[in-house]
Amino acid sequence: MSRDEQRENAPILDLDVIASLRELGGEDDPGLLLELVGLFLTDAPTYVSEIVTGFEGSDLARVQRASHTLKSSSANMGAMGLSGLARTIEGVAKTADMELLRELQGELQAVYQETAEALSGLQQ
Amino acid sequence: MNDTFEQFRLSGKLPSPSGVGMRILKLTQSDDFSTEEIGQAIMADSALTGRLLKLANSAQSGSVRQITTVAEATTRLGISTVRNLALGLSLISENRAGSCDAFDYDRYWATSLARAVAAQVLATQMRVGVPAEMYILGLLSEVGLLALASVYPERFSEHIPDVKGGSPADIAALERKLFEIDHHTVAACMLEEWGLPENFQGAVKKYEYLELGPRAELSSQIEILRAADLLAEMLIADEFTTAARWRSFDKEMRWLAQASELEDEAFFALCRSIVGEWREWGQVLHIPTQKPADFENLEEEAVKAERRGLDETAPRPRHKLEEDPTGKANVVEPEAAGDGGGTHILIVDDDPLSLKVLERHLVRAGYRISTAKDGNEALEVVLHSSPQMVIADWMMPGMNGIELCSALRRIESGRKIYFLLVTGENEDENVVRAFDAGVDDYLHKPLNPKILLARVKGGKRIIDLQRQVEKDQQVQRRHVAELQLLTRKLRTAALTDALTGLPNRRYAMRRLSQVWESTQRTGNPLSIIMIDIDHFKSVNDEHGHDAGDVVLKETAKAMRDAMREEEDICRIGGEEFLIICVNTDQDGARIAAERIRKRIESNLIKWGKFHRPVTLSLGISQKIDGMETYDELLKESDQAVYLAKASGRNQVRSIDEIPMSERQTG
Repeated sequence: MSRDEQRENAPILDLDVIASLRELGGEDDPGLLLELVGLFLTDAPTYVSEIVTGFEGSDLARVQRASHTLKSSSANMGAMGLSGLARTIEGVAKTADMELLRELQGELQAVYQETAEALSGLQQ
Repeated sequence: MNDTFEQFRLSGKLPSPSGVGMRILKLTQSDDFSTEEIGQAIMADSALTGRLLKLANSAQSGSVRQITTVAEATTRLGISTVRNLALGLSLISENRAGSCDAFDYDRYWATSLARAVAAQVLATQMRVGVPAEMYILGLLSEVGLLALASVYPERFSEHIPDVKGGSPADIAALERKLFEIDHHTVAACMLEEWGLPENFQGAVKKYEYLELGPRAELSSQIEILRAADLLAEMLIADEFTTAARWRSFDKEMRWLAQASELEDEAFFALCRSIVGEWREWGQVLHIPTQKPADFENLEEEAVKAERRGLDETAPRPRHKLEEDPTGKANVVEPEAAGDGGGTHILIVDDDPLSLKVLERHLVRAGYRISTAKDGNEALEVVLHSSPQMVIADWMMPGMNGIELCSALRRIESGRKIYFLLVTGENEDENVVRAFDAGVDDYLHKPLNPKILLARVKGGKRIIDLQRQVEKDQQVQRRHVAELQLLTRKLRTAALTDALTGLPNRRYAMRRLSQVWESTQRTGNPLSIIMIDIDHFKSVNDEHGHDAGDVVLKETAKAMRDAMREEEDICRIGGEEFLIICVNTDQDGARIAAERIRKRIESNLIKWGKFHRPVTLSLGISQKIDGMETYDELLKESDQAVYLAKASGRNQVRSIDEIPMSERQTG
């Protein structure tokens, strides 16, 4: 399986990660998971729009930086689809393939929306 | 010095200042240190410098101009105060945590800090003592407790419940039973060892016994310290404080207000300023503080305590004070004992989410965590709170992880930090660069919690080993310093007469030979006075040797008091003394000899049945051309003494009064 296929098949939300975050909070800090979701929903949109702005201004360093951060931030939340996509964008930004990048950043908005909805579901 | 304390010291477990503090201590113990050397030692530690300047500025009253350099602080406060501040502050950073499980280190330092600030503020207000010195006294007055917990961690833990609610005297008695020494004495010995002012020792030994009452005063160092201790206890009081204690706080606060001679409102304002400074200092030193009870309504606290129905026998849980939330670096206290053992780790990541997850994992494993969101903030935290480990993300805006690492390796406080770099997956090539920059280890993202904790544990082992090595080195350094001190003492002892404390015969002959040589070159005059106590043998025979010793001591003392700078007096035999008068001719020496003779003849000595002054026979000789050695000079003065004795004693005679033909030569 290629990396891209891996990414296609990655779950939007890895429930094992969510469970382990819940466990990490434990009894001492039962609100931890929701706090982390809150942090994600605040920060991730910034990273996404950084990527878009960077792309539009042909500032590839900016795209790299933001996608790098988004990659690890979303992996922490078990948002594997988003994390994988961010990793691909980071790689492509290095090769400066603007066509592919345009395609990917379009996809990014959609994947982020899907992830955000899944995570918001946890808040209810 | 106390024997038990001596054993403590040899155990190498006593709390001691960190590297810089120790260096300063050593510098000031040597004879010829310069102010610049001390300044340089302090400036090598930037965190210490910052704290020192803050203290220097808050402790100087009435001056508008900010102190901005160590040199300036030294000029304003005096070198000894600056030295003491540096010592005290470096002691905190070295002893924030320790091996005694039951000893609440945070609570200890929070209380000590409150006492320090309160003592400084009260001293300024009441114009008693030097405010900066009072800060140090307050900070260190209970250091004996820290020492007992460090030397006997287990025994101390076992007996903590026994001392609950005991009076100071009971606690001291129990400590003497358990450790053969009480914490007041330990503290006094430590302060002595660190060369802090002598009056500190008396104050720390006694202040806890000072009763506060309606007629309390704030006019001496010890009263200020006692009041500061009360305020500290009150600031740190919490839901485990009994109603009775709250009520006594209420009463004692009234007494203090009265003693301060301030209107109630002004007194409370003073207390509020103490609280403000305490919390500010807590932030600077990363000592957790809390918002204290409202000290204007202490009765209310007492009522609340009653409502809680406090079980006084229940053990107090480990201290948990929050750090000021406005503090940039938020230190989270460990919640459960784990691998961490309180090791202080700074984590740096620009993504708040990653930061939070990482923090949570490490806190759960028992580490003490500070966080920073970029390299610059991380540097600031390092300067202020010296973490032992840094875990930093590679990719960060501004200063990246590798740049942060090289920046840290360039400063003194950053060199020893264990640095763990977090990298992306495919960056093995760059890892080499990271190690070149001084990184100790690295971790791949995404972080696997198990591997994270294993790597951090490995780092902690290295930190602990390093710490042990440093402790050992410190012990060694101390031993070397002790040896030097001992050598110096022995050297002095070899040239000193034990009974009178005057230089002895060996010194006298060495000195005379030196002076002789130099006058050979310069041609300056040189005279000596040989002195014998009259009828000294009969003192020994009639009153015993003890009386004889007293006569020798008192006479030596009286003679020394009558001495001028250019005159050197030594005891060269049983009741025989010699004064070397440089640059003095025979007439000058005669005047000196007369002065001494008169002084002694009127110096009443009382011991047992002995009750009279003694008298002296004094003989003078002067170096003249043709004399070949100083032996001739000595012989001539001996003959002059003999003449004085033969002529009825209690008089001064010189060699000139003996006709040439009667002089003994050779």
